[in-house]
Amino acid sequence: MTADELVAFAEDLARIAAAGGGPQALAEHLAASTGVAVVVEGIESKRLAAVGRSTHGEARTVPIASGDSKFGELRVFGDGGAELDRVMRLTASAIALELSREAAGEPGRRRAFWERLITRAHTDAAAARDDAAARGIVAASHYVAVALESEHSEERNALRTAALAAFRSSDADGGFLERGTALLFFIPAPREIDAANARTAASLLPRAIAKSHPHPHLNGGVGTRVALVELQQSLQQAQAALSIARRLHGPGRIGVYEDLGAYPLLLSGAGAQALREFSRRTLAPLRAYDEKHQTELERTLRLYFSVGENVKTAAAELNVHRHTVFYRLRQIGEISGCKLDDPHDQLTLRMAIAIDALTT
Amino acid sequence: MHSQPDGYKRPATKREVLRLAKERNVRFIRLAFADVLGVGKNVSIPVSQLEAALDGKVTFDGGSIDGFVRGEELDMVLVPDPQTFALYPWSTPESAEARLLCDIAMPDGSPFEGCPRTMLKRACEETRGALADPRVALEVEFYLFESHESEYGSTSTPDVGSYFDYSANDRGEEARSAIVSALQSMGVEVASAHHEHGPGQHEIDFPHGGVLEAADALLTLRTIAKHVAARYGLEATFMPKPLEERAGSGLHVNFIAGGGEDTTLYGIGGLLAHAPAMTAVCNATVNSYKRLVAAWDAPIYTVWSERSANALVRVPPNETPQQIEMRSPDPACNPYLALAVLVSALADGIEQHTLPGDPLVGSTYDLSEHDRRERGIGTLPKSLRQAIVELDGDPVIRAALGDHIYHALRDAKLAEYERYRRAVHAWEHRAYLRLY
Repeated sequence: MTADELVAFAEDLARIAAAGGGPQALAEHLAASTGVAVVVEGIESKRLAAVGRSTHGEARTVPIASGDSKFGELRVFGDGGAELDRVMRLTASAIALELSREAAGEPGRRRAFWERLITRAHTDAAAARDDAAARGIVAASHYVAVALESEHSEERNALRTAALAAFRSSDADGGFLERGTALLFFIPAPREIDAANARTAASLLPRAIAKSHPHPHLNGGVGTRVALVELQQSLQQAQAALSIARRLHGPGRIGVYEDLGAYPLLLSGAGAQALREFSRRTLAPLRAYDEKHQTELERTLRLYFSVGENVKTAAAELNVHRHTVFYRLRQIGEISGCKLDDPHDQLTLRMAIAIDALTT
Repeated sequence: MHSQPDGYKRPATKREVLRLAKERNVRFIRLAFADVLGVGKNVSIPVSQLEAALDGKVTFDGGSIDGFVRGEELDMVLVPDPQTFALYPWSTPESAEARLLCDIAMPDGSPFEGCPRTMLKRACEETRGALADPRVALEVEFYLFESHESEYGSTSTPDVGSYFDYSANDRGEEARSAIVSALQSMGVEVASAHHEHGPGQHEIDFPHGGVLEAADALLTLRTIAKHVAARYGLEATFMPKPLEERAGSGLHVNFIAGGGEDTTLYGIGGLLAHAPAMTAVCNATVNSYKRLVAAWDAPIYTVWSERSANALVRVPPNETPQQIEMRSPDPACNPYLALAVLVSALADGIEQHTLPGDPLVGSTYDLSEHDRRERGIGTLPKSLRQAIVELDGDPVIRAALGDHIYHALRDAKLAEYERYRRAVHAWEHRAYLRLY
């Protein structure tokens, strides 16, 4: 490891700890960075974390301690390179910090706060923010949940590191939980641009780890921007988006809930009210544009679909030149955020129009 | 569409320059360079001194040039770049005049940190990790006005044309064609040229090429356009906003950063993040800020879009390779400094993984304050003074300029702003003289 790599390793440890990663996540980072197997034992040899198969043979051991307090030992199996001692000491320090928080009985452990939020233990925004502050968390007004999943531990480790770097925020604290093979991130989004950047950053993750993992097994989903106490809703959306992305596109894709159009409705078996809301939300941008600019984009779209996507016939029905229809279709694509030549986006628009026709 | 003359090859070595000078009967050579304000300067030497000049033995008084080492009588050295050797278009087979663009060096031969051309090379070198080989194209707008004997020139135009118009009796069209021919004869490639929005306004586009070549091309255009226009009884001006009621003249800088979708997004993020601070460099006159208003598709907000004509950064979709167009600079800027800060902003965005938010659909002029806040959209500075405050607060852009040029530019621009602030303008007479 070069000095810069060592610094980067320490920074990643800090990000994992700051996001509430815990001993297991810290141990996985050490294992992923050095190729060793790792065991973290607390006092009385209680196993707190383990990564890797070859936990036999001679181990290198570093105490996990903070000042005079000893919390356990970090054990490593295998050849981890020239700087193994240093990276072990850095990792042990980060784990000591985590364990000292637990030992101090801080109910404000960061992870517990996010656990409470996603089980809707908080319904009042002010109480949630107070709870966060008591746990040393600077909470934003709004968040976006991102769910990532990979069954391959190496890829998951790379994904965790890349995601922690990509989702860094200077505005407020983010959250991070691990659930089996899933990594859950809660990204501060006080403004809409923060949510837009979270969606983009998530979508770029497969590319970010493509060098080390050219054949991705991962999937991911991004929920909508919600108020802090509504985080559970964003997480459910993220998990639905993950599931839809995997089924529709296979591995290596991140689904963004807002871009999935009709599919979340189909997945959840939505009721009449949800269908009407979906139709209204999908067509709203076109209607707002039509009203403001006295245009006929919605009518053009309906007609275009009803004549079997025949531009010439649509132009005749609308009494305009076919170039005008092409121009309007391009406008419709931009304003609705749907690509008319994409079958998934077409389904969304066709369903929105069909539901509207049936319910109004 | 114009093309470069067949068989033109830039000389690469001192030996080739000496041979060409002899073959073409060159009598005088102008050793040209730009000061910190972007104004072209030159020292003319007889051909007998060419070899010495190419050896870096021609000096000039650096104390007499804005932004160099004013106040000190220090002989600076001109270091010609052989690849910029070109004959001026007024050369004849019997008697030719050539130019060489130069870097400025210290008397001991070391690079001078106040040389804009050297600074651009350094910026390209320092950003090579993020931007291996950026390509840049320029769209340069300017006006051709009737040339009258007056202290400050005139603003009457020789035509009534508009966008892409062609008129057989338009002296402006003829002058523009002559400018393009002159540029091509000097080895400056031109992609296209056309009439712009307003009467008298024209555009010349340079194709994608190296960053240094683009800056050299703009400096050459500004010099040549004035010479050629004068032959048609016209005056070429690259002043950003010569007429209140007509479109200003912009300099659209079109980058190909390379890399994939992520590189493009991060590059856009870098340009938007550093746009306010770059304004002091890319819009460096008090007049520049009369162009940056909500009219004539001038950009005023730090926002990007795929199609909107008035977004600061425009990224046309589905292009290969992907292009990133920065639309705020104006052609009165120092092209070396402007391209140095733009390249540095792009590279910083790529290195820091700066994301730009979602692209805007529609006109930026329609954005409400609430929309701008939610979308994280900032406003470009509204005056040169405000732009300097933004520059002071951006360490990336300051570092791109280097300490020497940052302070020289800052001092010069603060003084310029103060002179402007104290001046009593014609508008004030119209508004107040009789009213009060």
